[in-house]
Amino acid sequence: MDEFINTIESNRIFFKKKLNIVSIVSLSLLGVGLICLIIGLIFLESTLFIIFFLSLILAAIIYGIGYSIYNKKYLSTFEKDLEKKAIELNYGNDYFFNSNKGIDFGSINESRCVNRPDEYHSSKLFEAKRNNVSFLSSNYVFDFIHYTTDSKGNSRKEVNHYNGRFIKFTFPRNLNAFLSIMEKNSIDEMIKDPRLGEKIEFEFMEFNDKFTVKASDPLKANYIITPQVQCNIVDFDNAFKSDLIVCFLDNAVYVFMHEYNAKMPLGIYKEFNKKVFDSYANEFIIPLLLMDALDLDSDKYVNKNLN
Amino acid sequence: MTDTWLIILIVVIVVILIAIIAIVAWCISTRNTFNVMKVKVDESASGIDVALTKRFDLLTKSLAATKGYAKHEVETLEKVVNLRSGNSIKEMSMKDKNTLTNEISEVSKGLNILVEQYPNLKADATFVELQRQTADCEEQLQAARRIYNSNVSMFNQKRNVWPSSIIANKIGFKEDLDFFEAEESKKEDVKFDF
Repeated sequence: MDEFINTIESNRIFFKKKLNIVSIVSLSLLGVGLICLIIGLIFLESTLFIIFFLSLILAAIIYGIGYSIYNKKYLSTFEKDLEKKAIELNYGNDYFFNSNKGIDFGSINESRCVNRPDEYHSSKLFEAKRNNVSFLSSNYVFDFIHYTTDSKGNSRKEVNHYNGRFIKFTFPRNLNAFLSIMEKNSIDEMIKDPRLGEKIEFEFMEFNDKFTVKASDPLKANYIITPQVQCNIVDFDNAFKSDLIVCFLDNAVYVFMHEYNAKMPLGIYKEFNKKVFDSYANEFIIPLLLMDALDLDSDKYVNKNLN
Repeated sequence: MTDTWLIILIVVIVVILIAIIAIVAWCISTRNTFNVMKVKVDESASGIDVALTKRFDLLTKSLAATKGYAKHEVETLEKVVNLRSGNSIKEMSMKDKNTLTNEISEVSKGLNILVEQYPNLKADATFVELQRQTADCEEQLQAARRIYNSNVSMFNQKRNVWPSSIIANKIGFKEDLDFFEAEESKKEDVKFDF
């Protein structure tokens, strides 16, 4: 692991040095521009002001392009290896990951919690299994397109984007029930209230304040959402700043971390070390954390005769 | 002139009536909120009772299972447990429940030390199952404690903030509710550590 981290760090330093050359060129241009500005101010020469502005713009463009190129080169040289290492650390070799592929809309729609978008994109499909529970996870982007007409009769296109992380867990036991746990105020153009079942309140006031729970069978809801699970869900929600939507349906759980933006701790100016690697790897343990939070490893999702 | 005064009088009366209705509605709503909160606190307290009773029963069973291996040592531990066996956990005050939890923890620690000395006991199927159930029960107790304390905190905050404190005092909630304190060793528990 240390060797892997050192290789990436030396790569980062290599590209950073190249970017430093670009920075020097940009700064030199900026320097020339500033000299022109000073001379221009002394002699009130308008051409020199124009040269100052041009050099300022040129310096910004050169640096921007340089940063974009070298940062992209730096990330692309190891991103795949990094993803592989981060996943293998937690899941061994038994997984499937494809950063370009996503989950099909049908699987998301099974949750009954989403509206059909005009455009749908998905990436970073990840499948793995722990004990009896298998899961697939993916990022999603839902686009809803609207056409509006102004007072002059001109038509204008508006696109509303909704993004986040979707995870579907499948376990052996069919609960024959529907249960939704929706963070209050999470309903928007994309997330819809499934309008199934009756509203249930629990003994945990903080949980009740944050989430609306509806279930087809209140007894099963109490069986699934134990006091520990209530605490875990509140903790998970506080740890990841997203709107959490959890839907149990028969033998699956559909989880939306709505409006969740993954932390991207990598960058050409940021030293790559074990801490950065761990924070990157944490993105892949979200399904495991959710499994723990929802207690999906429990016997109650396997054995039909347990109460 | 008379008509103008009449209109002003009507407006004033309507405003006063609206204000009175709003105040009465707020009083009723605040009173109901306090009652609902108290019910939730009681519900969560019963969660503690259930978990604590279960934990106590499991400890008694664990001691019984250990007796065959270390009779004398277990009898010493049992004395602590027997002190409490006559009292109903439900009827105890929160302070007594705290004390009982600490006593259970102390006896459990003693039991764990004892188990280390008897490898056969450690491998005993009944004892292993009891240990597993105890671990589950500990988690239940922790969750129940967390929920109860969170509810009590919300209740106490509402009770102390003006103007709802006026209603709280009127309907008999004159003192803050007691928290169910965590044991020192468990105060460091952190769920999601990144």
